[in-house]
Amino acid sequence: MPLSQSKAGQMPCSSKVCRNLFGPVDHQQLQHDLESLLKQNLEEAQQRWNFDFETETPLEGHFEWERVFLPEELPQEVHSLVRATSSKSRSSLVPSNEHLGKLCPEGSQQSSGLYRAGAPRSLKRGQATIKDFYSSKRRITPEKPKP
Amino acid sequence: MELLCCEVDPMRRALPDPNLLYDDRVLHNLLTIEERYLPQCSYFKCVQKDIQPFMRRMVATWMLEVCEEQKCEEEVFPLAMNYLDRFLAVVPTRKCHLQLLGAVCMFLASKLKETIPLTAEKLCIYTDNSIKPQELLEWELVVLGKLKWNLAAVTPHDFIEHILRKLPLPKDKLLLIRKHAQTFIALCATDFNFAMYPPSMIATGSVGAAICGLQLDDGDSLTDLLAKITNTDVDCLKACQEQIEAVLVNSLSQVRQQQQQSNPSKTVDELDQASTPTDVRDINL
Repeated sequence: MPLSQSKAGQMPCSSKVCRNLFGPVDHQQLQHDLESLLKQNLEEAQQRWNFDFETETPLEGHFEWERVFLPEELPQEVHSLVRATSSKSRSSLVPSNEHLGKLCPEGSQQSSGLYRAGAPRSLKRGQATIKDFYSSKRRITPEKPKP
Repeated sequence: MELLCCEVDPMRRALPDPNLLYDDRVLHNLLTIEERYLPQCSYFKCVQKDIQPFMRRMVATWMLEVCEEQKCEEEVFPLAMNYLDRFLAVVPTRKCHLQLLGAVCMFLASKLKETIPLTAEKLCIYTDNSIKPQELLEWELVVLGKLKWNLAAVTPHDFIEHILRKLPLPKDKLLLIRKHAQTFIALCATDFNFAMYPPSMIATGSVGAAICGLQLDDGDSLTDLLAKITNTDVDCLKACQEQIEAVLVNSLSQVRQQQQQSNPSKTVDELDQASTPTDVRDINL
């Protein structure tokens, strides 16, 4: 059983509540449905942000994607980023950030060309700055942080 | 030297924040945004082919039992049901995947609301290991996408304190009224008829039903006052409260039936005292 011993010991699950409600689960079907829904999510996002999140390339659309570089990174491991600007109002940009986490494929952190949508410079602050912080932190963690 | 261990409750809680609770702007904002988090449609008619209303009740009852056994925060269950309804309103789902969806929704709601959230492994055990933790985690991403990552939904619980503080109630009864109202909210979440109601109406109806149940009301003035607090139509509120009371009667009779089936020798009174949850039994209609 994959459950860690400590958790199992803390609060056992009663047999009455542990039950399978609707019969056996078709795991193959489940996997199939998962893939088609994930694909659907990706397509919706691609359309919304005119950005191909699989190949990490900008597409034609009302967002203008522009490559940027993170200043704090060492030259040999430069990760390029893309900044998206839109002529539309701020509200059209705010949702962009909530989509990013799920859309960047997991491998994208390691890939050499990382694209990211950010708020235009004119905005005082947006969540994009938090995202910047998170991903740059993630890349630093494998090494010992300098004091 | 003696060492004292003062950690009584491992769950650390913040004190009620008067800046949030005693400011009407918060209540007004909640009322303004609550509609955004309602399911888009009555999905049994227009989206689902394989899933029927009784199946929603089955999965909801199971989710409530899991939340109770794991002593989850009160909001976790209604919030998880909100995710479930919003997902089902947009994605046609197979019957055999419904329990997985329920588990994913509890997983997300628990992570949003609790200091020590439910683990994927534990939730899988509760499905009698019919799903794997890996599947739960993969579907978490699908559900998040379909909910557009809007997880901080407004629930009826968000309104309870705002309503209670505006009512002339005896201080010593406040705890009991709150507890009963929370029980009513959970009951409403198991019943699809309430899924499309604004959370403020369910909260107002639940508080009303709790006060009436404890015979602390003084006639129509309570309903009028309640309706004014959350800008609810008086007739809608009355209908909602009656519906809540009907659901309670229904679920109590179901509990009695189940108990009589399992213990046919005992009288109803004995059974009542033995195992009906106190918070439900105490309510007199």
